[in-house]
Amino acid sequence: MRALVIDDSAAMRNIIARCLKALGFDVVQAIHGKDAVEKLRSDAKFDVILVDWNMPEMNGYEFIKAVRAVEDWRGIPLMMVTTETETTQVVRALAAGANEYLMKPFTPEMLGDKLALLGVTTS
Amino acid sequence: MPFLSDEIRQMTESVWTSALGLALEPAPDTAAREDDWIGVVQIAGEWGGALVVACPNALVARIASGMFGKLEAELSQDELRDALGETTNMVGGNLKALLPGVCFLSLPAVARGGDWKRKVPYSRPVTVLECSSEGVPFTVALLEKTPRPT
Repeated sequence: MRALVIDDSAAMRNIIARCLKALGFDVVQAIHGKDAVEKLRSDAKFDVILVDWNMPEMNGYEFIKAVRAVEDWRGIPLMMVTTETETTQVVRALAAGANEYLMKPFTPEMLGDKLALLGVTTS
Repeated sequence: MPFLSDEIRQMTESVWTSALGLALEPAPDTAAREDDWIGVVQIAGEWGGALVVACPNALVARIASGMFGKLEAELSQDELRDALGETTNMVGGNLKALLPGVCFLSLPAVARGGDWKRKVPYSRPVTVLECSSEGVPFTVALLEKTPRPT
């Protein structure tokens, strides 16, 4: 299983990557949406994408819309991992094409539960 | 009771325990301490202001060590900066949902040294929480925007 983790904070990317690696994932990291789109263009074989909302260059909301506009990427499960906790933002993200929504801060168990809801598990 | 004081404390505790794996403790006397690092997220919209986390270097190093999974001595200045920025962002992001009306959060900014009360011009502290973690005191403050003098 391969995961693409997108967050402008290296600290947060590291936390998410550590959780995912403990669950058996191989992890690729991107520093913002634009960087992630380039990584998808070169190799789109990801089983799940985890994306932050507030980032420079291309934010998470714009990234989701960009991903869902490309036929080959449309089926990749996508989880927003963000501090945007308002219901209106959750609804916006889901309407744009996110499949799950995880609010920061989170525990490794919470991340695992959300991945299970997406049907993305290594076991 | 200061504005959203209990809520800010709860959010800070949640970030500290869930994301950082550190305990939040009652604050000791903080009169003599010096804040080496200041994390700020600006809040704009129907409520304007900023959320500030001011920490001594020892605590920022502890936070970054946990987030990056490195020994404190191995951490770069950029990693310290990034860790405090993300920590401030998590507290501010959760707080935003409780503020009146629609608000937007800036990306976090981190500065080294100085008095946090002077870091955000045209604002006044409305809630100041003196906290402690791993025996190191730190401050979480909510500042409200004030009119610029004409």
